[in-house]
Amino acid sequence: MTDAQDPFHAHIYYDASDRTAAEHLHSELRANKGAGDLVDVIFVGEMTDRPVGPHPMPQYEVHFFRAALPTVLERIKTNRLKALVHRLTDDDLADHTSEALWIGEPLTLDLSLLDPPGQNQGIARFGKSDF
Amino acid sequence: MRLLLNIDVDDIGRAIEFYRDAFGLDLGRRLFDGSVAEMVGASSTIYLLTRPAGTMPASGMASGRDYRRHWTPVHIDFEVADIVRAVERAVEAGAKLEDAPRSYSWGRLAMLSDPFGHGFCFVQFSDQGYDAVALDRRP
Repeated sequence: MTDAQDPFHAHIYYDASDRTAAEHLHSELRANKGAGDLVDVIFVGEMTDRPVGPHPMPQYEVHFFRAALPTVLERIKTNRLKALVHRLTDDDLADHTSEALWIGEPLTLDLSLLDPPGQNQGIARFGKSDF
Repeated sequence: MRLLLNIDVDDIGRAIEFYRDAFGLDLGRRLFDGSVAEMVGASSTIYLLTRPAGTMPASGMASGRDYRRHWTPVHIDFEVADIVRAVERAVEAGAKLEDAPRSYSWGRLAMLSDPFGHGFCFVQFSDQGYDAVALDRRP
């Protein structure tokens, strides 16, 4: 059974043209996570100005519980940023493909770098660290 | 009996765009001097009705129309083949995702609201659909 504590990631992408907007949201999330309507946002990773893992362009990672999904999505849309939003399950491939919610035009991920079924390392580092 | 769905909105142009882009419906006819839009493509025709905020829906009501998020005892479920892509499309069109798809024995459910504060759901049935939870199965 799923519930409000389901773990989610948002990967928020940016390039030179929208780095300022991405940085603005990054600062807002870091400053306000854990309180108010961001009480269920528990971790905001570093802005990574290069491709990392399966992600083909700069991004940062936000960890949050299901209950924060509406407010996280609204902020991404308000700032007109591209993002991949997904739940963390034991199927890392599905999380990043068939179950992935894209805000903006989807990117092509390097799926070869995802964890094999049943070994999603993202679950262990949820709320603690990014890549 | 045919079923017609009427949805109050305070911006008919925005509503036509949203119901077209979010659900893939088409604008049929504009009616009543353009204050009503007929949206076709679903199993029931949807009529978008221009009704300004604050106007009274019926005599004796305690409050007028309010297009901030509100509860109504009736809502629409849109049945879709791929609930994740349906959510993606609706959010892109301006819907607010209020709960990501959840899985049940009968299928999957996602909860959203439109730009006029009306809640709606996407449902993607499993092979069994509501037979999975039916007390009495149809023959």
